[in-house]
Amino acid sequence: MIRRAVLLTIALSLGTLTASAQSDGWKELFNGKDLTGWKHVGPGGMAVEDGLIKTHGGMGLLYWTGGKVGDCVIRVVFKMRDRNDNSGVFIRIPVEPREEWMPVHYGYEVQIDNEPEKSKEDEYHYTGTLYSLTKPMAKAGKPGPEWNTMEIILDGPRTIVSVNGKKVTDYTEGQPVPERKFDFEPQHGPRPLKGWFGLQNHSDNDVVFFKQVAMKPLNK
Amino acid sequence: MLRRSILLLAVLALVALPAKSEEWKQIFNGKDLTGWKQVGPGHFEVENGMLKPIGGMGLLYDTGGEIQNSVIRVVFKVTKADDNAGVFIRIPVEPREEWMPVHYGYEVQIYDAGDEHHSTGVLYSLTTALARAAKPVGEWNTMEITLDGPHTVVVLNGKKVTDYTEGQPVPERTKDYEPHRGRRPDAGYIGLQNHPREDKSDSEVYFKEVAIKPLKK
Repeated sequence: MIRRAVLLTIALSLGTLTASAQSDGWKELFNGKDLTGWKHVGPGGMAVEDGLIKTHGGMGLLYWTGGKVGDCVIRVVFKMRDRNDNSGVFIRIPVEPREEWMPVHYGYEVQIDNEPEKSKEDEYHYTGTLYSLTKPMAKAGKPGPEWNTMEIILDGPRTIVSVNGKKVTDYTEGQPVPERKFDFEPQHGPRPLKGWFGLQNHSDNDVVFFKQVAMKPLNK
Repeated sequence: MLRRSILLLAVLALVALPAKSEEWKQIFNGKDLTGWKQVGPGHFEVENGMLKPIGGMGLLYDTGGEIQNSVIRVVFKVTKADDNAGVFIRIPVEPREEWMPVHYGYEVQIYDAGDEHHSTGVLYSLTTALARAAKPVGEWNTMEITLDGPHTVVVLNGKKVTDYTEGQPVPERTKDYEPHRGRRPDAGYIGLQNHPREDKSDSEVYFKEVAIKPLKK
């Protein structure tokens, strides 16, 4: 009986594993230990502390070296150190980054900043927007030290961002965007269907922690 | 006899003309900036059938798309010894501003006051001049840039200045305005740089011809 129970347990757990691998399909891109598979460019850097990626200095970015991604969902779980801190998730970067500005002008930054007004920026710069380009459909960011789950769907030319289950951005290439106001805001123009992506470290005053970065292909 | 000669001439002309016009495609029409687009500070003007840079640093790029396995011919002259310009090649994405072309493409330098890594015909800061071949101030220079897959050759006034294949070693980057190192694409956008002199005045560089022909293989 014990033998049979053990066998059953093994069989069940094998079954569960297979099932979860199939249905869930998330690939973890941060191993929780070190920055294997990632590379940093620009000022500042990232470190792993207590299983979390921690930003320091900036502005720079830590990009995933696995190549261009598209038609997928990227999940990022993050928290701010203070009530508010600034960071972001770069997507649709057309070329492997060597410095910090090409990703700004030729890709998108999915913004992380719940209080853009404090840096004299309008709501087009709120958590979950495509920085300076889209208006938030919801303001769903949680202040530090609460955890936030951001899911970014890259569906061909369409980009959908949800923060804590609420849709903040739904943008398709070619739709109108506001005029560019500052020279640090991204240049306008189409972004590629597939691109490199990365996490932004914004400045000495902004510390953001990332617990999970995962990706799964879009079911079409 | 006369008739036959005329016939012969006509035949010769027919044979010669298409071959000539097929080979080199003029991408500057000598009149206006059709087919070109400016990004970054400053601009270009057309003066007496020539392109002339104003201000900078920016670039005027060819909107015709990516170029590869081709020869690019640029005919230019400078007015002062410290006039500064350049020809951008192998730019991986259509430019929107002036720095991506620097860091992800190459600038074939035009500035003969520079050292051997920054003189006319080198890949700016990356290659060592194989020859100092620039003509004196005021004289026309012909620069031919061959893009052959990952191989870049620059010939200035008939002398080879650069012969570089992707992946070959380059000197360390010493200044933040120098290009980031790393592989450039086989195919890329091209452009002309407008760059002021040291004293911020306009570089008086004149471009009389910019033409492209496919590489014969």
